[in-house]
Amino acid sequence: MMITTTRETRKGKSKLAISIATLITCLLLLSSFTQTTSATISTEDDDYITFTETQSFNEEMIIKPLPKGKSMMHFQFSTEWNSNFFDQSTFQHYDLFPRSIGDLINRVGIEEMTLVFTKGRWSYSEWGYPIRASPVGVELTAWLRPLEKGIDSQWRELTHSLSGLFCASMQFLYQVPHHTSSPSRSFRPEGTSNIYHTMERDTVPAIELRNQSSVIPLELRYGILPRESVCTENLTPWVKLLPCREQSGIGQLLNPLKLYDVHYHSMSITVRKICKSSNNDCLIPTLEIIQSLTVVNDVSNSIDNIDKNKVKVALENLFEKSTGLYSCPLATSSKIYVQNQENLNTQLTVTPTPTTKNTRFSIYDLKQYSIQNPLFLTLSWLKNFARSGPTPIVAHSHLTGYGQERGGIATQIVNQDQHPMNITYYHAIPWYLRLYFHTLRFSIQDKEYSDKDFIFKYISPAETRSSPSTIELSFEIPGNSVASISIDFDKVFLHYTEHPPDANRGFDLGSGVITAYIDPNNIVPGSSLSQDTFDIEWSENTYPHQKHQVTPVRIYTEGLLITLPTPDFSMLYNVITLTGTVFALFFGSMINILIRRFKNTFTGDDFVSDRPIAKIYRRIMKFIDGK
Amino acid sequence: MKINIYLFLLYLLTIIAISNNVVNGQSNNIKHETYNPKTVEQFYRGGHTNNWAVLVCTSRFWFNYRHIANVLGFYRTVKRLGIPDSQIILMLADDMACNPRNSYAGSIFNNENHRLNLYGDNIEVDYRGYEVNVESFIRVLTGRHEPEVSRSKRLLTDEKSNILIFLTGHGGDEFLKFQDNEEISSYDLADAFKQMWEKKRYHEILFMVDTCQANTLYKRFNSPNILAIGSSRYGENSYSHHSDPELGVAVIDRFTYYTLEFFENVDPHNVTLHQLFNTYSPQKLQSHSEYRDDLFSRPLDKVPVTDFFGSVMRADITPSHEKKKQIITTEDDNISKYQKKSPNRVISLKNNEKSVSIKDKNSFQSKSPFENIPFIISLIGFFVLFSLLSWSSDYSKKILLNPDLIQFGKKK
Repeated sequence: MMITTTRETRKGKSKLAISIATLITCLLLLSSFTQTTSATISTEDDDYITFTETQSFNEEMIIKPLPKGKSMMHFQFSTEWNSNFFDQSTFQHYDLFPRSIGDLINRVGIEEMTLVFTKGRWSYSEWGYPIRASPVGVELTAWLRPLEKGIDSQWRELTHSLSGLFCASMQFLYQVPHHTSSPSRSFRPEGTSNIYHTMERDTVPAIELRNQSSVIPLELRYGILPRESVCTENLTPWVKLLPCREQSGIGQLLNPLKLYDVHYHSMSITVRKICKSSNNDCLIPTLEIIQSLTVVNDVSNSIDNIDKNKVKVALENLFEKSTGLYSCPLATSSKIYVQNQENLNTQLTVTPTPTTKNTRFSIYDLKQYSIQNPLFLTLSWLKNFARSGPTPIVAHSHLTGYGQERGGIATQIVNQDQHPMNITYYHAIPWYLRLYFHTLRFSIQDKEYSDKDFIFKYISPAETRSSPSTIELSFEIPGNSVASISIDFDKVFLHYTEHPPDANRGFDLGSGVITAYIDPNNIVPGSSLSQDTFDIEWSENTYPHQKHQVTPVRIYTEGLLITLPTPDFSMLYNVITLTGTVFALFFGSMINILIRRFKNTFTGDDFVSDRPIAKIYRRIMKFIDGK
Repeated sequence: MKINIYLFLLYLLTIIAISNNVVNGQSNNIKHETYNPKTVEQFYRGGHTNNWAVLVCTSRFWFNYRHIANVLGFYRTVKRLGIPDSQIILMLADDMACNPRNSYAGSIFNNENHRLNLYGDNIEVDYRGYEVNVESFIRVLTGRHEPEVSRSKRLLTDEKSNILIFLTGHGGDEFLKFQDNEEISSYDLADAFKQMWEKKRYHEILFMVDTCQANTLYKRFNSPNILAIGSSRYGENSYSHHSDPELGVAVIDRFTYYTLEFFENVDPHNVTLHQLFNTYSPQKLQSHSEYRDDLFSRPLDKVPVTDFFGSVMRADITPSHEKKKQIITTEDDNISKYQKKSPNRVISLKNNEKSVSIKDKNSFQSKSPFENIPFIISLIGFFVLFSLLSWSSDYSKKILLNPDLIQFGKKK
């Protein structure tokens, strides 16, 4: 889909140049009207770049057989918008790009944002690396351009807006700041356009404002809500952002009844600015939304009728869509990739024959199928095939200690590869666990590390009720070794009102993040790593990382559940009734003793009261009677 | 003495006659001034331009599955009858559809036959989990949010909105528990509605609640145009309808079950609230459902259920300045009318509710007591009576009622 409106980006100085260039642009405009389709970039002037504003949509899906009768399906929908984003009027003409996201980008000052909803845990050792790793619950990463209203206000607006947009309670990231932090090294902006930073990991990412020729450093906010559930109500608004929704194309497979009956479910949306043009200057950024959804199904029930050791999957049965697949008419490209894993003995067979096939993938181009002639894809593979070796970096974390007073967190990071690797470990721990930083132990193969051994070490203690403690460590892990990190904490007594309604269930602790920088030169062909399609290298529509950049692979540790000391919530009422009774008994008897006079009030046969009112009455009567 | 009593009765009769004439005359005058057939007609046809629904499940934990199913049953019904998701505030205190205990992931059933998945594939939950608490519920009703809160979480109603409010959960005498953790009391609800009325946030409210001792919850309401119905009396429990052996929990409550059954079996465009309320029998519910309509201005057999369960999207043309004035005065009168609902009010609906005539004695009250003619007349009359009595007490004993003197008078 192309829109043929022409916009221009200006860097000009002299009026003469401007007038000449406007003439050229006018001519180009005219010519673009005469042409039915237009190229992305028409010309490049010294001061002007004239280009055609385009919006496009691509849909892709990758299927990967996993051992033990499981399969991974990854859906990826990317919407691109090629325009001049310094111009405010840009965000007024929406076509394929969802307006709700566009508004948000403009209002909050998002340079880059990733929001992931996950249910279940990815098994790194069995399944390798996922295309987009995520922790359990909700994770929100945002690179914000500081605006006048202040970064905290922007973050609050972002979390509130997203919680409204995606039917989630994400505003808790702001309201209850247990889980919001800003790591300094673990995250880098994914997009490259207009981000003025070297690929060195220790510089602060910044953007250059071309019209003001100033550099603004970006602010990162990272929030994680481990308790947040993921269900149909989150999928509904997510699907509504797609141009074809669930009506046609790959989106047809998004059947909530099947997507939540799985081992692992992860749904994400990424907004970033990338640079598609080959020139390094990158005057025309492309705004991109990637919506991806990963599920790991158990297909072992669908045994092949002929061979009991093989599983047979028909895509339309798996997602209960009997109509078959065809392309979304709005999509520029629509493809299904089936990963061959040729060096493994998977005995993968696909019917019908793929459109194209290369060493890694069998590719179906859905543009060649239609409603009348849809694709009915059937796959069959060996139920128990072996992976070609261990996953290079795997991490686990667990709780130590016992009782409701003290505890600890221990994390193991295992390098099963031959090569040493650069690792950054990051963990944000809520303030209600009071960490003792002197108990932080770090060792690799029984060798204790001190501060000077780290490439980078950053520790910030928590502020009670306002921010979590964060630990960020960068180090090099040698080949075939285990790094272990441990720290002790005290469990804090929370206020009565700070407990959630189900306090006895425990408090969730977000996952730790391990960022491994794997040198692509070290990846041995045929190893398990080469089979993992990590970090969207498989898709031709996704902007590839720059060649010299070391690809980061992200591994999340398990989410942990901590029981804090909980009060007896009926205690209040017990205390009130007990103290009420005690007070009543005490004060009642005290008042009786102090106030009451014990006196014989019977004088003779008549009852004579000595209360003042009775006395006054008697006196008045005496006066009236004149006695 | 007899004459005294006759005099007094005579006085009373004249007073009543005079004041009646005056009131009728006055009301006739006002009628001539403000009788605007269009506004009155519109008023009695519903008078709302948009419909909203606030559906709240206040219970957490798996064994309260039926409360989520109750709310989702209502959600489905109002959505089916045309209220869009943007005008439904759905609050679910727990995640049941994707709960690990739910063997049907992504589905919620309110019947053991599992024919209808209430969660469907298009659902928008506005408040969920820990967000469902008393504070956010009151904030939704009164519209007092933080400025950043997104539109989907707000009840953006105006003075022309009809709101259906449905609450379900565990409750007791004049309270309803939220998340097994905190309570909302009947006073809180009444105050919230009062604030809504003052802020012109609703036109009419249908308040439905399915919980134990539900009828106590609407006891304290004191704002106009609220129709309230509960599932059980003070001291009674609300019971679940049936349980599903496959899920292992009860799937729906009785009150909700029979409400939804009613909507499934009738043409909702031709039934009134009166018919709906008549379906609740103590035999079926095992509790006494009662409604309160003393705050509500319209007769229930003239209110179609679609006034609350369905949706209208009517645009109201902004009236001109003078018309606006008129409407404001009539509305003021209406408020006083609902607050003192008199049995003398006669509403005649002719030709399919098109023209309306009102005769109401108490509806038009002047502001100052000295502008009120009956008041002045009765004041004068009282003085006359007082003087008459004081005069008669001494004089009549001696002169008027003395038979000798009367005879003497006759003789003279």
